[in-house]
Amino acid sequence: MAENQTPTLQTMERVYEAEIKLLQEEIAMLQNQQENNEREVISHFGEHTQRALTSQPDFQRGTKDTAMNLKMELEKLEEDLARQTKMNGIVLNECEVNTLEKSKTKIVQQHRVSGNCIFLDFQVEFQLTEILEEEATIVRSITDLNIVVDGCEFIDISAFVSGVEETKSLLLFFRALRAFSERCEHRNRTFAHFKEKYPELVRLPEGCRGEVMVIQNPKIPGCTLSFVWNITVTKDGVIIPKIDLLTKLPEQAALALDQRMVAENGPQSFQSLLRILGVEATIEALIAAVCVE
Amino acid sequence: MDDSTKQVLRQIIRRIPLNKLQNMLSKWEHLSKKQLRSLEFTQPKWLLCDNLLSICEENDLSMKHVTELEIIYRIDHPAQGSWNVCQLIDPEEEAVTADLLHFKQLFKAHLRGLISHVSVKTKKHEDGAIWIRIAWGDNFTQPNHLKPTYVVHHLQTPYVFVSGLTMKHKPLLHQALVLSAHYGGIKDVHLSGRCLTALRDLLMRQYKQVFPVKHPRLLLERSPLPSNPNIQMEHAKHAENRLQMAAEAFGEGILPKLETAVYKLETRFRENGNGMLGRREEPFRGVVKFASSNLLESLKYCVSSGMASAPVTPLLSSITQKGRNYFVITDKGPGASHTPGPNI
Amino acid sequence: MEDARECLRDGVLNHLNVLEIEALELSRQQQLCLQQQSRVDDLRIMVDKLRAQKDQLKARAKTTMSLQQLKAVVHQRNEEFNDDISEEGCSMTAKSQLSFLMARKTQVKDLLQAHHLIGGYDVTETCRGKGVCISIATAFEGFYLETYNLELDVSRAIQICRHNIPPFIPLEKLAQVNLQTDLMGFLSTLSHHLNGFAGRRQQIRLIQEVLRDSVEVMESNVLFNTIVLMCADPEENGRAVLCTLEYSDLSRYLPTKVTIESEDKALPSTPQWKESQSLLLQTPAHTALKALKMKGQIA
Repeated sequence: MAENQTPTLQTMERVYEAEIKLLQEEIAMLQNQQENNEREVISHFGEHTQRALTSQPDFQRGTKDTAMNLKMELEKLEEDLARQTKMNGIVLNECEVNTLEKSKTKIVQQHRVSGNCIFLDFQVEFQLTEILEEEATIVRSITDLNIVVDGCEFIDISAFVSGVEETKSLLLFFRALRAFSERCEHRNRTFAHFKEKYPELVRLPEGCRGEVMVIQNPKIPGCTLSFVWNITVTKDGVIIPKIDLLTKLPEQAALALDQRMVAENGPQSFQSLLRILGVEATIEALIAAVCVE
Repeated sequence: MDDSTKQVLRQIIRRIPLNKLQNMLSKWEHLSKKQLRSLEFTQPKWLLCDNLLSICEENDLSMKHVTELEIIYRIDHPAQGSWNVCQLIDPEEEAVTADLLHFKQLFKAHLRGLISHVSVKTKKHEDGAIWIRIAWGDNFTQPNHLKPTYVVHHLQTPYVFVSGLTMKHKPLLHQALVLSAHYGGIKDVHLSGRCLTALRDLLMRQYKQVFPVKHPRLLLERSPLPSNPNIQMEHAKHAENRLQMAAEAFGEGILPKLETAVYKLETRFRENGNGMLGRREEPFRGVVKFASSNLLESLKYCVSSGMASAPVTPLLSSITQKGRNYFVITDKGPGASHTPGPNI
Repeated sequence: MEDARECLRDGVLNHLNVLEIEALELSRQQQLCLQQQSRVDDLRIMVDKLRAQKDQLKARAKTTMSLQQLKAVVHQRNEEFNDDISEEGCSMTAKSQLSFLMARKTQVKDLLQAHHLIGGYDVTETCRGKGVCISIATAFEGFYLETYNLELDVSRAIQICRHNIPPFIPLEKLAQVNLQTDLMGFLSTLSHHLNGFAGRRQQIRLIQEVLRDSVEVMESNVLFNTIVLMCADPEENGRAVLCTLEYSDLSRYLPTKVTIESEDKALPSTPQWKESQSLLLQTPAHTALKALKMKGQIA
């Protein structure tokens, strides 16, 4: 009796397997269609979504509940997104995902995200691969990475960025980007603060996002103190600030001071001043020195 | 080989089961291949032991070599005897950069300074832990190798696992550990059990813990259990919640094999009505002990199946969260009177 | 009966053997059948499930509008600006709002996923706002490694309730510094420590996997901040060379000190090896050693 049943079971197996394959393909197509549709809508009507959320058209009885649920869900999601943005310190404006390959054990997706971190804009394109290995472990890796950063501080970070692209270190890039942007913002705030406090004495030749702040007493032309605040990123994402003081003195003053070896010992004493007082207090001290003279 | 060495060897052989003996002897590497082959492992143990003893005498082995055999056996089968866990506290600067060689030297030196007759043997395990075997003597007697203490320490972590330590020697061991590991003190963390790997996994967090994080859909869908879509579970949501709470409290996958949890009650007896017990001022002393071959699995099942109430009471979830299995409950709250467990 | 008598002629034992073989064969077939039956059952359930899913998607597609249709609606609305809203108009507007909402929902979900993929903290609220759960992702050179989690109680002072951070990471020390005063700073430092640790460990794993024949890891510790590697000179009597890598900054995956030693006392001072020493200071160990192997400097 066993022998008679097996062929029927086998054919049933085959029939079901074929149907499953067909259904899976149909489902994938429907999902793709839906996703594409939604993306098109968003990219076209982006600005109008705010209006869509607040408007309260009359709903037919059936759809009212769906819309209410959808609105509540969306509100929660938007709250979550705001929270993530705040915690991560990174604003993401757009993202696009394309699935290049999908099977039971492997999936390859192409992602493109663009946004900004404080005042550095970025566009990052990366290829993400997930492979299901034995013992149900999933290995996730970046298999291609392209980064474009915009902003006047880009030059300081460009070497780091090309290194990161080579090693596909996506997470390292964003970690360092955040730390780098925070330092740049601190520099920017400090320079802006002193420019506001002492508008005649302080000049920012490269703008407030630049590296240099020049302190000069208009009554003593030819004598300038250039405060150079350099921020670079090493290959492994460590932020290194380097602060130097360049002094320009007119000839007579330089000769006079040179007798006391001031110009030579200047940099060292400046560095120790920085260490003891910190940046802001040091700048105040320099400004005070320029004023007194 | 003197008599005490023979005695120790006999005890060791007695403890090692026959089926593991051959493997242990070959790992020991103090018998030549020929000698190993000459032993018949189908003989009764006492006969085998005698033959082994004569071979060891031939090779002129001493106590040092014999204790090595014991260490090897204990390392491979750490579930012998029960282990207690201590935690080193107040790390000094050098604690982070502690290295094995220095620790070994310091420990031996300190212990020998504290007690005159002591035999210390150390061995590094492949997972980076250091195993220490201590045979204690005192001012007048030689070290007693029949009752050794075993200590396992993972450098750069504050945990020390101890087995076979008497109250008399406890302060000496603690002192030596604190000084050689560069910490300020040491405390008991109220965690004990037979299975060393379970205790270690619990404290080193080497089991899978579950957190209430919404993971954005994993790209690869793990194949879900085929459930018929035409059949809907009535309390599906509740069951799912219970499962999630159980997983958050106890973990997921293979859980460390704890065997017991003991709650010592020092609370006043509370009862409805006007019975005699309730009127007493002094606390009603009782001990509640949970025992199981795999305690965490059992507790997890209790919660996920609805037998225990969810959310999980902190009395039970403290076992994994605080990494301890001995609690004293007073009226002011659990564990208030004794030092809290090892974690932050 | 005839068969039986024939079998008995061969002997009872033989007969029993034959019966046993037959019984085993029958049980095997029965098991096979049962397996197949249960497999067929599973497949049927799968088919039902997929059918239900397909129906759901189709229904959803019906309620949402394509871009064309939405454009038409907006155009129409602009044209009929002053007209009273008719029944038709109502349902269209409702439908278009639904479409907007659904599209926006997908977009927000995608953005949240993107935050997760770029290594964000995946903040989740717990206990109705009294608690927060944070995930710290680690990765090295494109490979995503472990994710560590912290559950914080934020009702009064910030406290760590639960975490799965290994005990050799100095969590307590880091928390003492700025957990209360600067949560973001604390998380950033912790993330650097965890990523530094994960990076160092991954380098050792890669060396053991890829450079198995050239480099042996003699010593390492749980934090992977002191590593001793042994490689050999490519010449015939390959002298052993020991490279000791010390990482005193636990948040970095590059060493702060590299020592080269060899049985040949002169070897470490040769220009070749001096160069290798600085290479090991600037590049991750596995990359540096691979380069040395390619150059033929190690066997």
